Amino acid sequence: MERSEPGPWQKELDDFVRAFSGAFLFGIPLLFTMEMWWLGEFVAMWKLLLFLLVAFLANVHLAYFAGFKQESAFHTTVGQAIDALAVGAVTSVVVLIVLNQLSLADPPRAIAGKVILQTVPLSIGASVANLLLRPDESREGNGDQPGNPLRATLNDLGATIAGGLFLGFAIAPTDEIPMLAAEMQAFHELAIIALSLVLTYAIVFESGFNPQGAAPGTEGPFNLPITETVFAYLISLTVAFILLFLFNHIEGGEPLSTLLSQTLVLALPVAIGGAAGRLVI
Amino acid sequence: MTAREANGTGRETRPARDPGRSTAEWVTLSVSIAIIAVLVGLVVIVFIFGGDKPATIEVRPLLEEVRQADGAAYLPVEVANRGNRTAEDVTVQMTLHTEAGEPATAAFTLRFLAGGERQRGVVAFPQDPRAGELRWTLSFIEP
Repeated sequence: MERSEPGPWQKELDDFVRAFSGAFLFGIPLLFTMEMWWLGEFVAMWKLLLFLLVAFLANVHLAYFAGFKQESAFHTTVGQAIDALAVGAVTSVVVLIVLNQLSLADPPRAIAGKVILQTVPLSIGASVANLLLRPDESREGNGDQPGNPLRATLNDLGATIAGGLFLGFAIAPTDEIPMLAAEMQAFHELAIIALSLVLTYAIVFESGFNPQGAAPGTEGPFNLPITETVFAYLISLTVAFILLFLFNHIEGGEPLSTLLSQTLVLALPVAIGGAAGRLVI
Repeated sequence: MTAREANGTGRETRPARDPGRSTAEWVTLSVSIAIIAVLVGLVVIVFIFGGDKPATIEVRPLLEEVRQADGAAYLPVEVANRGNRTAEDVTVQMTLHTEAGEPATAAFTLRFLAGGERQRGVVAFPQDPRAGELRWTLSFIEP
């Protein structure tokens, strides 16, 4: 049964969900890099304008060859590049606020610097969204055998762990995790949980990267969208906790609040990696 | 002609007669332009009107917020940069002089303090700082 053609608003929403997904997948390591936050505090204003110009030109080029909109004439490429920059800027603001590295009360110079520096890689991620995780019509139901929900569940479980480890390994050993955790308050922790769940749901189910979904008869407990999202997040929390323990960021006897904060912080990139893993594996 | 063909990247090109942007696309493009305009405008305003005064650090002990715990007196200290340039590794060393005993010293360091920004540090002394004389020294780097 063919899916009906989406309306223009639905299509636009799908395109931007794809763009935001690509931005997070590409830019999450740099969002967790303290040097990027610090540079934003003192980089010269004219350099920021130059950053924006370079990012715009790069996005024009990328949008023409691999944009997040599935159909693009050349004359819409510039518009798509502007959209990519805006996606990068919004993503930068949201994540930096959730990580408590940006406040609207900060000096304008610091706000501009932190946001624009992160906008560059995030917008590039938005522009290459279709290349990062291209819809694969040849994979019907992730290659699962009909009537094999256990296999489908194990496949998704392994993919979540593998993808989470791939991103988590790049961030877990760094000092940013305990630094971020120490500065987070209850609001930020709740926000990071919500962001993790919304992002992983959007990447897997709303971005259009994997339009096939589960094959008929393979619906296990892992294949219902909300169930899969929550279960995958729990797995990501476990992977994050184990990585933090292995890299000596947490040890026995630490306060529960410290364990929780650090695990929640690292679980965001681990969850995003897990979502990407479930798409490509 | 409405032939559509896939290019090497697997993406489809528009039909030869492009119907133009939909209302949804115009709305999102307008919002995107507005967001970028705000960013660029912010940079331009800071560039033109932000000034370039060297970092000037003001230290203000908040004696009214002293709290006692476990035999120590915790004193919050507000540090503000009144200049425009960012100060790096701002180190504040507070010394408490009382009539009884040697002076007590405590210090903290702020990694970055942007122009116009204020942050708080906390120092702890064995005696109540309100009962003595506080002095401080300051050092920082201008990147």
